[in-house]
Amino acid sequence: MTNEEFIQNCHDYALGSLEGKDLAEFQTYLRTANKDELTQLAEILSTASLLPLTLERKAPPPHVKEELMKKIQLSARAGDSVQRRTFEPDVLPVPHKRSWLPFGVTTVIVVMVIGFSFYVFKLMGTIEQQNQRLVGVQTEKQQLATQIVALKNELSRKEEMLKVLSSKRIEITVMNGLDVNPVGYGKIIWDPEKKTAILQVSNLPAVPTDKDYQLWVIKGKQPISAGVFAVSNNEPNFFKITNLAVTEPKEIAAFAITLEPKGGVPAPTGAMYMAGSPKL
Amino acid sequence: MFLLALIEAQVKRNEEDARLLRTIAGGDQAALGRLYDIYSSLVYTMVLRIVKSSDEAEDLVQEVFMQIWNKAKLFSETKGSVYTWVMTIARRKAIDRLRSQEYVHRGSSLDDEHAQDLPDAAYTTNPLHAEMSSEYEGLMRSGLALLSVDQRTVIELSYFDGYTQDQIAKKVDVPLGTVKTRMRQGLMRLREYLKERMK
Repeated sequence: MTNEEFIQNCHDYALGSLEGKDLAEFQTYLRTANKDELTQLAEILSTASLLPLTLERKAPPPHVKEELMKKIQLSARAGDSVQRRTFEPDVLPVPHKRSWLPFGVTTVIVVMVIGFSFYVFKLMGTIEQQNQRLVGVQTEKQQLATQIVALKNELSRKEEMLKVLSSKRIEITVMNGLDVNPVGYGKIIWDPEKKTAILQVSNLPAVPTDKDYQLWVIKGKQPISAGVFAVSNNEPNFFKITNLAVTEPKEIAAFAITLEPKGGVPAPTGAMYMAGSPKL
Repeated sequence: MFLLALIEAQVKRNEEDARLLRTIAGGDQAALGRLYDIYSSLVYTMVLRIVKSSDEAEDLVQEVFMQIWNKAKLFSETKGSVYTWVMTIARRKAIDRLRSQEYVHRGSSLDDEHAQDLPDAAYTTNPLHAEMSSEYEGLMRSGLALLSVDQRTVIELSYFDGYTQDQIAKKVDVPLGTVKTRMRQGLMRLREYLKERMK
């Protein structure tokens, strides 16, 4: 509402000709009107309130006052005047001084509470994010540690294999897949003097959790266990073997790999997956 | 000089009237009788002008003073004069009666709910007492005489007859905008005249 519209409405309001939507809008505007606007309205209302003075004065007949005073007396006797004064709201304004202090204090407290709640909420969000990051970092650290251990093991194994390969004398026997797993293949490289060997296998099926592959050295017709191992994929797998029972090629009839119960058995019981004889 | 004396007397009368209302609020019937003696003739004159029936006007006068009796406790002198309070009650009751008779819905008249937020200046006038009344009447009459007939007509139709601006426009056969302008200019002129004379 512009100032011009406000002034126009003040005149209409003072004369009682403002109505409906316009009246409602004006009343709404009045709640936030500034001091100058209220002063202007006050002057206009004051001027309008003097209009009755231009009328030729007439006194009401005496009986009006008499009847009024009787009503007042009855009302007072009935003792309801005070009660009605208390409960009838439909009157002229109840002019009273508004104290804005409680409202102001309440508003400040509400704003502070909202602000603090928002800050706490945001802080909790940040803490949660940091926690998640921390968990992520810890998981990553564990993965890296596991990876380092695996790499160390791998390095150690390769160093052992290099030791075998760098021996003065080495023997090699190739093993081929049998009927159970014809695609499998492998080889065993060993040092007859140090009795250490490297076993390499490829395309062996992954072992069930309750089983192991077992390497056998067959001397004559007697199989002697050279250790157990497990594979989890078809990739080439290398294993180091120590304390090989028989190391001279002429004494070894063959090397064989069977699938046995977990931990191995004294004599082969399961299917043979791979076998090969040293070339003399 | 007489205006300065008038203002001083007015302030004094405001205080006296406010004390009277406090006594009424305490249940003093004689005090209401005294207030009636001060205000009844102007209340009667105004409501009679509005409802144009002496029976209705007499009834309204009783209603107005019954309301004062019941609501005196709610009056606050810090925000206004007894004069404006009483006249506002009277005019509103008369307009409401007029509208209920005509079965015309025109919305409410002066809205009292919001009057409480007005500055004190809204209610400083209190011209009803003997030493002031005739002076104020003279001022208002001379002020009204300055207005054009058209301005005076629309103001009276609105204030005393309770017509809306649309109704006034039809009644005097002019556009609504013209009615608004006449009302505004008329009241502004009256206001300026009074301010000038009160200096």
